[in-house]
Amino acid sequence: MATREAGKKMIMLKSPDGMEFEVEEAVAMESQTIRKMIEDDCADTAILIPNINSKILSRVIEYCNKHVPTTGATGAAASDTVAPAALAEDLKIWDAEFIKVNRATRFDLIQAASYLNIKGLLDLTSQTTIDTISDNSLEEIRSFLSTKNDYLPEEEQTIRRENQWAFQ
Amino acid sequence: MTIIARSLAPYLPDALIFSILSRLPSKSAIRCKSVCKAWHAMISDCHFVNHHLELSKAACQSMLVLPLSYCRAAAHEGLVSFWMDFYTSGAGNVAAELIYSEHIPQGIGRCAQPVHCDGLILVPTLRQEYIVCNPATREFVTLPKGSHNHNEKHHRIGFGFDPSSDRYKVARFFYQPKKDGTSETICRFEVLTLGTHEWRQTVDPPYPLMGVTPAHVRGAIYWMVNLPCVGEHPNVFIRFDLSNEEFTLTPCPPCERTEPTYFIELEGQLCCACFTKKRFIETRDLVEIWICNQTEPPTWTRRCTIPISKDWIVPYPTGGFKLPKVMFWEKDLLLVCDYKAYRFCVQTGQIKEVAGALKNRQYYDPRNNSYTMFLGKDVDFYIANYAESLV
Repeated sequence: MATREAGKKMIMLKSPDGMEFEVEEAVAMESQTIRKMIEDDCADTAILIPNINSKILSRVIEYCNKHVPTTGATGAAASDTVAPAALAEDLKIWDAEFIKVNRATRFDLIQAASYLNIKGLLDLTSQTTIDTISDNSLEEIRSFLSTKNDYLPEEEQTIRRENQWAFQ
Repeated sequence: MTIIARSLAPYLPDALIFSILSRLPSKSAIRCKSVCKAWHAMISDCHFVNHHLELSKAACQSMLVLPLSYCRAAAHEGLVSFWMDFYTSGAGNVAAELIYSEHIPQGIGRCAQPVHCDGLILVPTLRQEYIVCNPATREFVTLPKGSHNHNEKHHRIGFGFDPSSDRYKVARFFYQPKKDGTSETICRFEVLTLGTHEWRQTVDPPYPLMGVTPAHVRGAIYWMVNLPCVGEHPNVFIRFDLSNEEFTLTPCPPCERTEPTYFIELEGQLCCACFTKKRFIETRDLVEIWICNQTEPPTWTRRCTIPISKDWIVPYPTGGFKLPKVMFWEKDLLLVCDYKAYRFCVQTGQIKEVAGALKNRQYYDPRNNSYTMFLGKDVDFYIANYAESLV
């Protein structure tokens, strides 16, 4: 593909609040959505990313920068010296640090990862939510996800009784 | 836009709630039905159940361990078990966690190798009882008895999913006396669709079937042929199509020193373990793992060869041998022989014993409120690949 041979081709990403981010094409292509746009030649000089504000977009780019596979000349040398296991461990620590954000930001990141179709970021951001749901009471789950309990008290009792064992 | 309308509290759109809930373990998902009506509807929907199953299959498969302790209820009845305990063990270790225990007041007979499909476990017994259980949702159903089998040595059951009707089907063969009054028997075949209560007889299989646990692969069930005489053996497996309920033939793997012994569960592929033929058994025992390629006509590839040490083959007191059971475990193979487990690395060919695997495992016996060793008198245990589901 012609675009890939260019190596360090740059792409301009624009957020709806008017900020522009210049990123390497390889980094932008961590997003399957953007990859599709580039491959279909829908991308001109700049790609407008709707729904994702500059604050969130900059964090997404930060994530993609870290996770882009190091295949370039310098990248290959680096992975020769560092064992893949150590590299993966390093990424894990970085991820754990990256995800230390408040709930609103995390939900925004989930939505951004979903829209841009970045599997790694979606897995990472979803997992903390999954853990929260697995470990907490119904009341805590409701407040965490801002979900309203629309059961009548007796309805909730019946449903809970049907699945009593799942609460043990 | 809804995001703006509801942006006061941090919130996720329904599509993302769906995606997150479908990654939950079954138990948490069932608990979440109590969160609100919309979640209840979402989690109960078949679209959600299917998506959840796909993710569960794609995630690391676990193993199901089913120990059964028997006692003699009445002298003429043989061994009976009153409890069924389902343990799972996750990736990387064989330590098992009890997920579900079912009390069976009327008792069940001695079990044969259970079969697994999409998180459902089907346990057949010698008394021709069939139990279908989803340990993750705690559904436990006893199926109606099938036709009487006149050859008790050969009894096995097949279980699979028919994508054309979107139903699970149970298939079994049985031997019936010939009408001419001789002692000879004829092999017949019947099917039960889960959700119905009736066994339907199909056309007869082209060859008599053997009591080897069949394999379920993509809408079909594969059986071995029961013709002990070498010259007579057609060298084929019998494929039963779950949608049109007809039989076709599939060639056996082209192994020379070994012979097809049993099938191995491998998602989406027919896989067979072939042990050294009896007449070669003194020289060097080994097991070959063959995988069927999805070509037309089907061809076989030998994935690996595992040497078998003598002490892995356990003689039965009544004669015959118990061969180690081979199963896929992540990228490796697991060999379970008696109460030891070995891990065979396909890449390097190394074999390592899995420490503390099953030998010293105990399980809780609620009948007398004590812990019993897996290893013991009148205790059998079965081990199968397992992916939990809400099916």
